[in-house]
Amino acid sequence: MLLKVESLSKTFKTSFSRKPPMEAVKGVSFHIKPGEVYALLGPNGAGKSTIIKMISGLILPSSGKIYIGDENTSGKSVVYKHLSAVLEGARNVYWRMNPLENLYYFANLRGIKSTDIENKTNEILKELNIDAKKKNQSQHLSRGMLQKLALGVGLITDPKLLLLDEPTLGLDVESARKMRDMIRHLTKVEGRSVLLTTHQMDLVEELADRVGILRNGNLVREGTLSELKSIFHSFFYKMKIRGKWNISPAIQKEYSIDKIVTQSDTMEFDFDCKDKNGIYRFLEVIKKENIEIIFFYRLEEDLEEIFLRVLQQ
Amino acid sequence: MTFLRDFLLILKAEIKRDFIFMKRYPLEPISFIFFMYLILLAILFGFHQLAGSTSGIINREKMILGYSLMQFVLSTQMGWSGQIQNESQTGTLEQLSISGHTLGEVLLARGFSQLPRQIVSFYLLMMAYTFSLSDLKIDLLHSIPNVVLNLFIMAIGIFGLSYIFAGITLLFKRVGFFFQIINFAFLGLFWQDRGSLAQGGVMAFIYDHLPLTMGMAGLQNSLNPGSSILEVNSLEFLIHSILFCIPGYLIFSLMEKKARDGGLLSQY
Repeated sequence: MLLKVESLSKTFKTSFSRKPPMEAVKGVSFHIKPGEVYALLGPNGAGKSTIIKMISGLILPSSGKIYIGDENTSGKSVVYKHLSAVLEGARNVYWRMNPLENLYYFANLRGIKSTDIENKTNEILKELNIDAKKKNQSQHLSRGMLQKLALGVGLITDPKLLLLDEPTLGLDVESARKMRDMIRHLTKVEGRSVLLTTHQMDLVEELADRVGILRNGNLVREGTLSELKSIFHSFFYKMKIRGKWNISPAIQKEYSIDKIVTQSDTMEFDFDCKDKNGIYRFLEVIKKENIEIIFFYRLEEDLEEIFLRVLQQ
Repeated sequence: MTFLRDFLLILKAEIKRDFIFMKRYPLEPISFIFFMYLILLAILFGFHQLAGSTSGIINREKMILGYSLMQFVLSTQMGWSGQIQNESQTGTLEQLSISGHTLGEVLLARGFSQLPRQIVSFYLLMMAYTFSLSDLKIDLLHSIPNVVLNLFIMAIGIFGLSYIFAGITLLFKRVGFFFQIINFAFLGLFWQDRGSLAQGGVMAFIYDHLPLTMGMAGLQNSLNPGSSILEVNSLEFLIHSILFCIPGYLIFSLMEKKARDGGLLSQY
């Protein structure tokens, strides 16, 4: 196990007000295996960033244990040499220094041998495609570039575990796509483990091996994407038929027929069969109406729908 | 040994970083010295206009030395708390905190890496006054080793205060105004006439044992024309400074722990 989190809790006490203490994280446990991408999902204030900051040692847990490898971190700064954290997007770099200087500074600080620093920084600059801007002051770089640089700073120690808090926050579509490709490369090609928090479900669906869903500081669901999808056993279908069908209000209501697209000689729609035998009942209806089916298939729920359902539970 | 090795690592990184900033923004320290120079010159001019002459009314040498020392203290102590405030905004404070070193170690290394620049700034300020006011009884050249040694030891004591101010900034962030008021207290301390304090009193005891005032007294002696090259009782002064630095470090460590407990490292 690369990372093991056991019954992690955090309560923020309010020293200067009469507000009651705020329980941000409540007994969360999970683990990450080597080479795995674990995504923490949850609405704002669910406790995702607090968990990442507790793992990286920036916030002290109220209770619980965090193991990196076999070592209990409990404030031992040396343990943190095995991980790197990129927190809240483009922050984490010195804006008055250029990318090269930033990488050199953090490499020196982290004790990388002088002989290795040049090769290492050049490698990272090329890998992240910021080689051409390595001597531009960081404050003049685009947000996407800054994000890449922050990731580069995180990679300077060649960490086994990367903690990425909202890595695509505030990025345009193109930069977000590049960041996603980069994370995929780091995990699938280089075999690093990543703990990721994001609100972008497509990013999670594409990269995550396992997902944990947080609500009000509790880890309410955890599993692989297919495990999460199987929890809800939804029975949504899409069907395309030849000709037109005057759907009666009763049928429309019973099967929640939706997203109807009518073309010159075809019609397409989604419907909900409610249970596993529902599809047979629906096909009987179609048969009675003497409708020709072009195709039909079961719809897989996407992560966003699962996420919303978990939060509604 | 591990501590020393780690400390040297940070020191190396900080010296390089400081050099980059000095090369990139050379006007920043120069303009700071220039404006500090103008302010005291204006004060001296004001005295002159009011009293017709400054001689006999004020000890100009002590005033200039105290003022230059205040600039030295200010750039060290304000530097640390300013860095904490800025870096909590940019997120680099968090990166420093997960670098495998404590923030206290990083700040100490920064303090030492910036020390040569601050000593040079002190000298430039003093030189500017001796050139402008030719009748000053200050000999800057023969006392260089003594002054450097004095400032170096004094800085260790100031680090203790800087730690406390940095810790307060870590917890409360926007406290710059409060520190600016405190800096005037330092100026008062530097301009205080030791002779006017009651012998054996608490104030006299504090005055005699504060690294700031010990440094001031040492520098006053060193800058007197005709003083010997090594006038400072370095060992006693060093022990005092270290004794001031250690509690500062410990208090800062407690405040850092409190900041980590409250999740305050990145709040600004």
